[in-house]
Amino acid sequence: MAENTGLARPGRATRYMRNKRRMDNLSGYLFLAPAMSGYLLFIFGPIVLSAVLSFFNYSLIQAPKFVGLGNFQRMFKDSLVSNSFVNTFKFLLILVPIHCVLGLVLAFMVSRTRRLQSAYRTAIYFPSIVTTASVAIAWAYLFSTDTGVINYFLRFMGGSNVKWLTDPVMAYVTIALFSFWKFIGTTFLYYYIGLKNIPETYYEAAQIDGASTMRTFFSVTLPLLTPTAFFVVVTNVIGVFQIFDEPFLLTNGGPGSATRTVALEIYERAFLQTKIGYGATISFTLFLIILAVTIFQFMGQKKWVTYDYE
Amino acid sequence: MRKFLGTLLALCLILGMVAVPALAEGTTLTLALIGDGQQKSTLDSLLTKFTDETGIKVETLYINSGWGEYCTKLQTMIAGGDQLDVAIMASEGIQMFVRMGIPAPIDDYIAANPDTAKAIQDDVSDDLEKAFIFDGKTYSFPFSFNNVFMHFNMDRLKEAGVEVPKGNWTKDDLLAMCQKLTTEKDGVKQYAIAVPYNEYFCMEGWLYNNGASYLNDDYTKATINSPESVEMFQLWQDLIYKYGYAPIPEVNVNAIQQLIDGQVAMGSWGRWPTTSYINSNFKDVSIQYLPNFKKNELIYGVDGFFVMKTSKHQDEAKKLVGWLSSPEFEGGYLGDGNVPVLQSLAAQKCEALGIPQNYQLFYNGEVPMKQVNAPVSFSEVSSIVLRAMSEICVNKADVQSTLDAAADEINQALAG
Repeated sequence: MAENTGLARPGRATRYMRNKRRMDNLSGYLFLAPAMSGYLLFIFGPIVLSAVLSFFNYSLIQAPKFVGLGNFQRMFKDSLVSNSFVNTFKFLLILVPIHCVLGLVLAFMVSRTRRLQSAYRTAIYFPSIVTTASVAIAWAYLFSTDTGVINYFLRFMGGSNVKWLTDPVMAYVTIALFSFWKFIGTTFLYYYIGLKNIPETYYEAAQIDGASTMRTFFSVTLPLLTPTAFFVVVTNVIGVFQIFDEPFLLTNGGPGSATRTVALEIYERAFLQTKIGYGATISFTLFLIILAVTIFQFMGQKKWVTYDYE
Repeated sequence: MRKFLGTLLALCLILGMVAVPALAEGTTLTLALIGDGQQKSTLDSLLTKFTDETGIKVETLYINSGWGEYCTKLQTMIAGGDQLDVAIMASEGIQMFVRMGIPAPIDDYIAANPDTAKAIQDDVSDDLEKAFIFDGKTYSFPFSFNNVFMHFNMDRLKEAGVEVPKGNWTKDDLLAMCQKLTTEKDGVKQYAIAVPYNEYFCMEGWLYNNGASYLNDDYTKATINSPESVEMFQLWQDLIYKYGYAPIPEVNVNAIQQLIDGQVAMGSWGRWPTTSYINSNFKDVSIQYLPNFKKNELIYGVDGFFVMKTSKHQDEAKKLVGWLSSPEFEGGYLGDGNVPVLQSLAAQKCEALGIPQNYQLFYNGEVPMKQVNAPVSFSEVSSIVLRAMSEICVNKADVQSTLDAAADEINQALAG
């Protein structure tokens, strides 16, 4: 019947195209499947589970008990939790500028160096590949108040002991120093790659116009590096919100609770005290805060990030 | 046909009866212990004897953590459906363990094996045995225990011309001794004492000798802010800041190693540092009771093996618990570290090791003992106590107000 209509040939072509598109779509989805299933299983699933568990009291052994908003009410009254959020914001204010600014300075200086560039790159990036736990313990020994090597040399030079890890203020300084040494390599690498991706022609044009090094940096390099800087700021903010290794290994949140962060709080409540529901409440709240801050950063990027330099 | 079916059924029944012991002999139990696994080869070779005797195989699993974290990991394993049949548990987690319904009582095993049970029970102090009885049900036999004593680096004492104090030494004796032991060597200050830091158990040992404790006897109220307790926390702070006899404690600085290296002349622990002493070939060490502030009451913590209620092999697991509590296993497994609960074995083991001097104090039982405060919410309470200690001894916070705040937090934790 269809052959008599005279529409058989185009119909077959349309069907063929439709099938091809379907096959293309299918192969696309198949390629996406491993990443998507990993995301659903290990990221989206736990987020949803964390949100659900926030409304329950759950201790692993006994069945979860629905408590409504009880955990949230408790969290807002919990001075330890609010203290840990304050401490995390302190780390945010200290560590994000250090990583974002000093990483750029290092990358800029190394990219302009003509000799031993690969040696500098290796030296800066090397601490990033060392296990945090092992080097943190070594740092704790170096910075020990009474028996540490740093204080030994300070005393040798006529100074006195500095309470690197036992004073609430100095503990932040030591953690910042450690964080800079240990993790600056990653930020440095992002900036370094960003700098290498800036077309040489812009610099040549600036040179012809007689721009100084400073002027070239602020008027050419920095604007063209804003997409990288934006990425670095966003990832650093997210990372510092979740800061765990440095305070856990160097001070265990001390002295007292001076460096106790939200991630440490979650770890203690959920995994040491087995209050899974309460830990999930703090964890989900942290997720919401990070989400809000990240959305805010993405909204604000229009004002300072330049993508159309090509 | 009917005959054939009948024969087949009978055959099945006979095979079934034969298969039951065969199944038991093929059973593999999982045993969890706390520690870094250095003794795994000793444990596994001892367990081959159990396998030879019973046909039951045992897989061992070491969890390297503190008691609080160990409890959590066991809970995670049980909740995750992991096969776990027997696990060691100490005073710190026994209350929580039992109240959460994790272990099964072993009264039926005791009733069925009265001789084995009696041999163990007759050789163990009543205090240690009571730690495993809840609501009239026995959950385990005691296996090993620890108290807290003052350990002395004898080289440092000799250098300062000081002798190990008598058993009834007082706070004044302690301070006088600390003054003599605080010196300087090659530009580095050598301290007299390491205050008990990050050590819930050791800290409470000091409190007991001052008539204080973290909690009241039935674990319903915090007493950490009582005048006697405040006095003790104040003493620790003063030893660091007022007198300069003790270093500021730090999370990653090992005080036992400081004692071995002579950076401090004394510190308070149980028998567990003997492992480090042996590894460091440190033999010139002695022990004495903690200073007698108001009385001399030895703190103790005891551990034992528990059968998990979720175990599919209850009878075999109980058999293993009985065997693990026997002198044969205890004698083979315990050397340095914890003190065996079997009194006959404790003397023998401590004597064989020979260190520290005065090792008889570990087992002579001359001083009344009191178990460490370990409520159901132990990990929360211990976290609060250790944080308060950190505030006082590291952050130099006001003792009374810090302990008042800690008491409020503990009371909330106890209320659930």
